[in-house]
This record gives sequence, C-alpha cells and structure tokens, in this order.
Amino acid sequence: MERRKIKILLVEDNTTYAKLITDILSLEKNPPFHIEGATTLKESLERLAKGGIDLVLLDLSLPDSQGLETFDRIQSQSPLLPIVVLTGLDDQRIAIEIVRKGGQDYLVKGRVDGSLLASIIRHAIERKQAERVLKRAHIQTGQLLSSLTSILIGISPEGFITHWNTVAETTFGISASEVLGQPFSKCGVKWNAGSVLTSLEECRKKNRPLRLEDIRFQGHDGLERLLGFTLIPISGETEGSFEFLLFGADITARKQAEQIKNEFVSTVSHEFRTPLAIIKEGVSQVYEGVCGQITQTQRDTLKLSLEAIDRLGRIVEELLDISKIESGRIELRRELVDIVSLAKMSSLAFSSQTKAKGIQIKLNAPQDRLEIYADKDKVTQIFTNLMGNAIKFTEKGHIGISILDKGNGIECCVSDTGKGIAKEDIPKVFSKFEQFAREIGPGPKGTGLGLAICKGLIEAHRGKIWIESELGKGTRITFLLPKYTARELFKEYLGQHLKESVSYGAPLSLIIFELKDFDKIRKKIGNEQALLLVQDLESLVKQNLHRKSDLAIKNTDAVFVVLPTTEKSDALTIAEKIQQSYEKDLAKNSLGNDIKLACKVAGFPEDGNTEESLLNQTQL
Amino acid sequence: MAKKILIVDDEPAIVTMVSNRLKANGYDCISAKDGQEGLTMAKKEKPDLIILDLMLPKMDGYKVCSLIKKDSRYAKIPIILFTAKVQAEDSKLGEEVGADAYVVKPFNAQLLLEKIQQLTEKGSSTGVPAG
Repeated sequence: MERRKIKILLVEDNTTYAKLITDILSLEKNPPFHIEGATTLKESLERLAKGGIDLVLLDLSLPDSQGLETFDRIQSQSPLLPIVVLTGLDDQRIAIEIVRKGGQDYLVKGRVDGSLLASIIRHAIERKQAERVLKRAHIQTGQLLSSLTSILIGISPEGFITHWNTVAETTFGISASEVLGQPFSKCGVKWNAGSVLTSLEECRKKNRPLRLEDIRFQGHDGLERLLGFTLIPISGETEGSFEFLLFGADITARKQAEQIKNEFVSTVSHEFRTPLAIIKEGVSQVYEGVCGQITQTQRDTLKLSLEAIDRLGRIVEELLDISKIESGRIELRRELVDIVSLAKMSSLAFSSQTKAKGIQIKLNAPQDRLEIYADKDKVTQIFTNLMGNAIKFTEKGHIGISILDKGNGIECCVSDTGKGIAKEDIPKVFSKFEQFAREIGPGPKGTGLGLAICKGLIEAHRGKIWIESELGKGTRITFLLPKYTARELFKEYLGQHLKESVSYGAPLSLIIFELKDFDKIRKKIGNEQALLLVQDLESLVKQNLHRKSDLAIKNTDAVFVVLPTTEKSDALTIAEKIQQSYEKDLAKNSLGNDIKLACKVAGFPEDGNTEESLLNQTQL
Repeated sequence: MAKKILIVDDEPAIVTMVSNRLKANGYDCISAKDGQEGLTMAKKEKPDLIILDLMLPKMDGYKVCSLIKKDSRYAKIPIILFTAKVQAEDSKLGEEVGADAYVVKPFNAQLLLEKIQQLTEKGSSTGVPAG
C-alpha cells in the first residue's frame, strides 16, 4: 500500500541549503515526503493560501521578513499547520521563544541529519493533531457547560475550585474570577459549610455520587434559599485521589410550591370541616331535642339530614386522604398491632349490615394473635374500606377474611361471593375515581377513591395490594404488610429525622444499649427472665426520655434510641445515667456479675451526616 | 356547683352550638374569640376545662396551650384541642404542648361530652392520650 506523502513547504532563501534538505528528505520512505519550496514570505503565504500543505519548515530570515515576524505571519495565515523552525546557532533564543508561541520545534542548521529531521517532522504533525483534538474537545465542553441550566462547581483533588459556571455565579452572587483556584472550603457561599464538607468526605470515601437536598444558603439578595445538589466523584490521576463535580440547582421555588400545596390541603380541610361541624351539631341538637321538643315527622326529616352530613364528612375525608397520598404526605405512626384483632373489630362494625343482607363474615387466621409494626388507624381504614366494598357488592353468600403469616410479612385477604369485576376493568380498579357496577341500584355511589386510598396507605407501609376477580363469581383483594424488624424501624425513624436535622442544622443523637452475651444469659436464667430483663431496660430508657420525638425501641437483646434535637454530649450523659441505674438494679438482684450493659452513642454532626456514618460509629 | 368551661374559637356559630350543648348538659360556659383573649380569660376565670380551637387569630391554639401548661398556676386546667386540622404532625404537636385531648371537627357530641366528663372529674390534667 502506498503511503500518502507528507507535503512540506520548505521556506528557505538559501537555495543551496534548501537543496540539501530536499535531498535528505527524499531519502526517507517511511513516510515519504513531498517538498515544495518558497524563498520569500510573500511566496509562502500565497502557496499556503492554496492549501494542501501538512507542515512548514521555516527559515526565519527571509528577504522580505525577519525573525519572529516571519513566524507570526505564517502562523496567522495557517494557524492549524505545524511549523518547524530552521535556525542558525545565534538564533536559538528566538527559536525557543517561537516554540513557546506555538511552533512545534526548531532545528539548528548544520546539525541536521535525515532521520532526525524526518522524526521531528512526524512528531510535529502528530502533536499538532493532538492539540487540535484537545482544543476542539475543550471548546465543546466549554459550550456544553455554559449552556447548562444547573449549577456546576468543579473541585480538584486538593480541594481547590476548578470550575464555577455562570449559573453558580448568578445563584450565589459570587463571580468565577473570585473563586477559581481558591479552596472550596473558602468559596464564600453562606451555607452550612461543615455539612457540605462532611458530605464531600463521605462521597470520597464511598466513591459514589451523593445527593443532598434542602441545604439552606443565603442567596445573593440576602434571602434564605434552598439548594439541592449531587456530588459526583471522578477518579483522579493517582490512586485514591478524586476530583468532584457539584451539580445542582436552587430548589427554593419547587419547595415553596410544595409548601403552598400542603397549606392548601390544610386550609381546604379547615374550610370544609368547619361548616360541616356547624351543620352537624346544629341538626343534632334539634334532632335530640336540645332546642326543644320536636314532632316525629321533624325527627325523621332531620335523621335523613344527619345521615347525609356523615356521608359528606366521609367524602371530604377521602378527598383529603387522596390529596395527602398524592403529595407523599402520609405519615405513619407505627406501633405493634395485632392484625387479627384489628380485622375482627372492623368486621364487627359491619355486623348489622351483614345481618340485614343475610350474608356471613368468616374470619380465618392461623393464630389468635399476629403482630406487626404498622399504623393502627391506617390498617383499620384499609380493612373497613375493603369490607365495606365487599358487602356493598354482595347480595348473598359470604365474606371471607383471612390472615396469613408469610414470614417476610403478613398477608390479609378480603374475599366475597359478589358481583365480581369484568376482566377489562381489573387494571383500573386501583385508579382514582373509577367505579364499576354502578347500575347496582340506588344508594350511596361513593367517590371511587376508596381503593386508590387503600393502595396509597399500603404502599406507605411499603406493602403490596392486588386483586383477583371473576364476573358473577366474586372478588378477592389481598394485601401484604411487610414485617419490619425493630432494627429496620429504628433505621427508618433515624433516616427521617436525620434528614430534618441536616436540613435545619439541628443536632441529633442515637444510643444503642446492648446486653452483652445475651445467649449465655438466656441459658442461665431462662427465656422468660431474659425477656423481662430487656423489658425492664426498655422501661428504664423510656422513663429517662422526655421529648415527644424521642424513640426507644426494643429488640431481642438491645434497645435502640433516637433522640432528635439532642446534642451528643447530652446523649452521653443520658446514656451513662441509664447504664448506671440499670447496673445498680441488676446488682440488687444479684445478676450484676453476669450481665453487662454496653452502650454506644453517636451524634450528628460529630459522627457524620448519614445514617451509615452514625450507625458505623455504633457498630450496628 | 356547675363546672365552668371556657370555649376559645373564632367561629361564632361553633361557640353558640357548643355552648348550647354544654349548657344542656349542666355546664356553665364562657367564651373567647381569639388566642390572646382566650389566654387572658383563662387566667382571670380559671375555668374547670378549656376547649381550644387551633387556628385562632392573634395567637394560635398551640401557643395558648403551651403558655397555660407552662404556668404552674394554671397548668392543672385540662385542655381539649378542638380543630378541623388533622394531620399526624398536628396531633404530635398537640402532645408536645401538653394538651389533654384532641377532638376533631366535625365532632361527635357524645364523645366530646365524655371527654369533658373524664377530664373534669379527675380534677387535674394527667395527660389523657389524644384521640
């Protein structure tokens, strides 16, 4: 394969020397060179304007131009071409200057040999190519960065600011020129620097992007604003060194909109419920004779009104529920609940209806008690809703409620022998406002929100709900409530409150009390006694906690404690107090030698600002 | 002697209704229409129980409750928070300020009367759980 010839423009007014170079280069075959000559600057510029040259070999002293000027003229004519300068011994200074200005290399005349020259030419061309690619990439990146609508801050491995884009400038009111090259810790942004730097450290340790929301900062107008950003680690040149990109946005507007929506729900709820309360109470009082005696007809009429008021009340509640679910504002208050008794109680509420219709409710549970951590009110609501539906759509037969322990959770099923749902309608069952079988007859139509609400509540518990149904045969709705261990609950609570603490800069502490060698203890004093020991510990802990947001939760051999808004130093004091008190009690029962209570304390911000870092501190 | 109940609510209709109900059940009633007035009346009249709305002008119900409970002279007066606002956070907040009970509007009159009876019989606030 014939290699393409490299086209060289040899600009040299000394024709003897020019011939020498040409001869030397014509001997090179790998790659072969094609030499064109020019003896004046004018000639060179004309030739270059025509294109097709790969490299310029340039003598600086020409009849119509000298020294640096020669180089400058050639370079401005063809900025993309590599230029190698031929220089006399005296001109080395200039040659070095030229290389600094962008010339690729220089050669001292009289010291040239063929292969050296060829090599220099090849390298000059390659280098120029590489420079071009790099420059293009740089320009593209620059264009990309400046078109971003997000904040972009670059941080070098040593902690200095390498990038500070326009959006960062306008958001913080700090210009790039002020901060480029400065340490990130001193960038001048008025935020909780400690928190941000701690996150940077964590990002470095984990080598994984880290998202932070709700970081408060002072905007350029002095007003408090909220920032959300992601820290992205990029491996540096040496092992373990990282550059960081901070990529984020001012989320104040978004958060404000959320808050307005939340307040709207609150206000609307108040505005609906207040007149409803007035109407209900007014009608009740007349109905009950509080305002004076009334006739039977009056009583009958008012009774209808009262029932309608209750119906309206339920609809308002459903609307508010669905609104809360949609904006993710469902807050669970978990406690240990017995699902079996909850189901029993819900079914009792329907006993008059089922009797009237002549249908039975059958409850099927393997055990008398099945306990799980869940929100009691919400689970009751779910049962009530499902049972209500079942009864509404069943004319004869029975309603079955079954509760099963599935190991990883508790599965509850409400089934009926009613109308059933058509196959094509099944996917829509949990959607809002969808209703089926409305032709059933007169009576309450409902809002079509019931199942959507159930789904929302179950998903808030991180559970699942699904339906099986056949037209004319009946329907089965099953939901699964996952089991949370004390540990998982503790972590969930910790996570929720830590997020708030980080956002507000408020402290938070956690304490873990552990009975050492619990198995040995169990063997020694028996299971029941051992259980009592943990219960006593839990009571003791609870006695010493005073804030409503304090959580103490017992595990097999430990008690986990979360103390939002408590400083680590205070937590240490409380822990010590509890430990001493407990060990004193143990001593009284002569168990002191065998049983030791270990306690570990961790706090935000001292031990980090994520669940993992705090839990690591306590070795959980 | 009839027990005296202070109703603090900015809705005149609510005040009228609840007073009617309470009077029909043998209680004496006085009322206030904003938080500031409520606080002043509580201190002046020392009622046997306070029914306290939350969304009040001049000073909200939480603040009023908190101030009363923090003052040892009046801390023993049972307080029922009475409101159309119901979120989990709201009842938690109610516990934090020391309320003795929490009744939601629209309310069940029977339930309200029962709570009033429980709380006034005990004679002092003992932190009956909200519900």
